[in-house]
Amino acid sequence: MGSKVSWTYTPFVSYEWAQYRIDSDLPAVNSIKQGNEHEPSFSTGVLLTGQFT
Amino acid sequence: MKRGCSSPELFIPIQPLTLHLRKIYAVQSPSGDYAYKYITSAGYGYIRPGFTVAPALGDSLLTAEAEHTLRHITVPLVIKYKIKRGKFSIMPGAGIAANFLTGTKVETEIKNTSDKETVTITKLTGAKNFNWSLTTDAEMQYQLNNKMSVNLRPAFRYAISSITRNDDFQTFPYAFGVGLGMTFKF
Repeated sequence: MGSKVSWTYTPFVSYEWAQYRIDSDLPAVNSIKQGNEHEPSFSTGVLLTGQFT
Repeated sequence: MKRGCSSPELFIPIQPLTLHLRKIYAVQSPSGDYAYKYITSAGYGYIRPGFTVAPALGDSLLTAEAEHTLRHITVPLVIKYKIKRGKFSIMPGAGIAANFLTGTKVETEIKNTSDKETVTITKLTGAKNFNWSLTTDAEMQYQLNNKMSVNLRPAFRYAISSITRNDDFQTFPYAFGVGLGMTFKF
């Protein structure tokens, strides 16, 4: 018995809190992370979903 | 009722970051001249102020607070599992995302003892145009009718390859987000 795929699409907006990990041995580079303040991020887009039933 | 589904997606995250004031120093830039090197987590920018002659090696300037923004187009491929109870569904999922850097911008003000100038850096040396991240989410959906649903989508992304390509440092961004959307059947 074969499966059926039904497709949907989802426009969306997203609110995000972003951070980062930095790998470095240089003090000048490591110090930039201490002086950073992350502002909220925003995303928008479309999700395309195929559902197997 | 439980069903499996896969989900290729496309979205555009924008990541602003405020950088505090700092002292920057003149070094030899990749183009051979001397310029002030501004270090960010995504690469280096080179500043050539208009209010002074070309700097000498080791000269310094103060910069004010800066805003650094990265823009990406992200294309994730996520495998989800749908669990449905009446009109409510929850779809936990996990996958991988391809991130394409489409723009970077650093805005700050530089000053010496007598002058100041607003500068904008739009190209960072050492920033990669592409990186990979892992992504996981738990989409919650409420069915309004046969064709439409509303959904809430908490998600987490973690870079598994650096957004920088230089040897001095490697940067791995991660983000937690909450999305709101409307789902339509074709």
